[in-house]
Amino acid sequence: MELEINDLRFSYGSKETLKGLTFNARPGEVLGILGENGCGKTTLLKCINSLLKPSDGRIEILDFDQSVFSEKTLEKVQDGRLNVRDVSTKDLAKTMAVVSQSAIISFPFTVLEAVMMGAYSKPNEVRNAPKEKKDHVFNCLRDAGALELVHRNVNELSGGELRRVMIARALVQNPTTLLLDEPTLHLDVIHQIELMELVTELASKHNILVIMVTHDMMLAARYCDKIILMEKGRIVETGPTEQVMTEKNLDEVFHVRCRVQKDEEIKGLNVTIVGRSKNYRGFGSE
Amino acid sequence: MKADDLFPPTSQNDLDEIVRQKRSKSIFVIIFLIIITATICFCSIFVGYADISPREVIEVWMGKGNWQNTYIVEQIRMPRIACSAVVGAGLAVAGMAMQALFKNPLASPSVLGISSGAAFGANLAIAFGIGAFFGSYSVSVMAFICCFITLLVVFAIATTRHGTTTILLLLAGVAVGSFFGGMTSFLQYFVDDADVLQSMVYWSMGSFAKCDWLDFKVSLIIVGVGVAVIMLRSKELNLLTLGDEQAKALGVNIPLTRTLVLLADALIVGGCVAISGTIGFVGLIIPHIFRTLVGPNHSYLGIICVFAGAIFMMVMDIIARNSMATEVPIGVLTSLLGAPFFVYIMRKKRNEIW
Repeated sequence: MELEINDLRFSYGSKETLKGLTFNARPGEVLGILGENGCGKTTLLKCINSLLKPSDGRIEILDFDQSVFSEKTLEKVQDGRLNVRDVSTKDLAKTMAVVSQSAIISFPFTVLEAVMMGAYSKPNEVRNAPKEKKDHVFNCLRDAGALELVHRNVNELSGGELRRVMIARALVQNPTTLLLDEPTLHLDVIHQIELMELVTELASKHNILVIMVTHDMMLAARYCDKIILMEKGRIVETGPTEQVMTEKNLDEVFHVRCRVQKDEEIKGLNVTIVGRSKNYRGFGSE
Repeated sequence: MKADDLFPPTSQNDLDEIVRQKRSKSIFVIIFLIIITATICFCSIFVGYADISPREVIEVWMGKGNWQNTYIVEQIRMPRIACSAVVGAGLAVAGMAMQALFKNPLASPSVLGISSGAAFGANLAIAFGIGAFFGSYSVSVMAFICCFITLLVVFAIATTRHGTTTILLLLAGVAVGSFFGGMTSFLQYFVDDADVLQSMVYWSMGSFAKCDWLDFKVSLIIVGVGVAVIMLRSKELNLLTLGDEQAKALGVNIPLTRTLVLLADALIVGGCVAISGTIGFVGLIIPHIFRTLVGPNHSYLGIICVFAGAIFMMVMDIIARNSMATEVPIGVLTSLLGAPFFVYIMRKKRNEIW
């Protein structure tokens, strides 16, 4: 499933948060979205997942698997394109999964129950699954590193444990597009690396599109295929990681001096933060 | 297989086994509650204000009792027991649905003010005959209409651009509930007819003393429909406890679910208040106890609440009829027992609620 976004705008009241974003994303990619606090990264993710309604512009999906959608949704297809706005909530959940930034769970569901909720949009697929797919839930729990948590209640988990449970739930949805909002937040280092390796594997082996909002420049530089660099609701630069993650760009957007080097051992870029930029005069200065 | 053997799970079979064990536990609780319900239903026919011995009750059933005993058993005690069971079941399920919808273990029809709204509607019908068009259903219909209006008002007040927040909802419920409470008192103050006033006061305290078979039939239909709607939406209720954003991302049609559940809730509360008046705290206590016992999965919790609510209400009604020389209004009784429990939850869970 390909995603094409054209002149996307969004406003909270009179404040325009997204000021005309245009880009596309292809299956098999890990797309990182980087930017300062409040530059509209999460808003963009919520627009893609139809949680927020854009004030202008189009978010379209192309090359999608028609069999997962209901007839009502398929009626809206034009020239093989479908505006996410026209996809019913249930149909969207069949192809897109999201791991959101924060979760407050007040009811004492067990981890297993919480993870199984990912199957809500396609209950038959899990119940009547063919033999080779029968252990789907087990595999998702194992991949997300949440197997040892199944007996616990979700409202007793630590931040990192809850994050792993939410990732497992998103995997149970069996999505073709996976939206991750700060997926490594609260995770300890080993789980961060495990998660990023899982994400790259999902993209390369299962041809899933992964869109990931993150603050972690090191992880983004190392694991993302493409980067969108945002500043104040606009795209500064988009392209392959090596083209976007330059010392100059990071200096401009994040006001930090970095050393970006190719690292043979990790087969990617290595970003080291040296200090704040020379002309940076503190918060709020332009 | 014991639960410990399944940890950590090594295959999908282990996970299936965990699900199965949890299901059997819930089904066991349900069967247990059904047996208790039947037992209490049966036993409560033998107790009451009138001095009728168990042998005489059995004689009535065999069609050999004298006419007074037959009347008391068949036209007073039995409809009363049936009504209390329906109301208990309805209020418990309504409370459970509210708590899931508002992601808050403290929400209940009485906390959100809709019971007061329904009582106000019933009072309007009694005092001024408003809704006489609906005949013997007028009180029920008015209770339902006002119940739903209250719900909409509370919801409208609590909803901002960024969604409905729990604290606003509770505050709005308290405000609107006390407004309708005040309006009810206002009506009562200006009613001259002592009989009318008496039946109005009766509504606001809650009692099953005047329930007959017609009340039972009407409430069974109304409450039954509401409970059925909530049961059919139990999966969505599970997901709604995660918050609107996550529920939507997982595929729940939130506006539809919310409207259906709120309508069902108003239907249940309206139906219950119409025959028994305002009875508080049932919708709070029962779901809370059983959520800690069998977990919050609403597919099972709904059925459990039906029987547990019925048991609770029947027992309360037995106490109400027999504890003192005169009958204690059941609304008073549930509040006396419910309020301390409410405080207990607040103290214990205050860190988790907001």
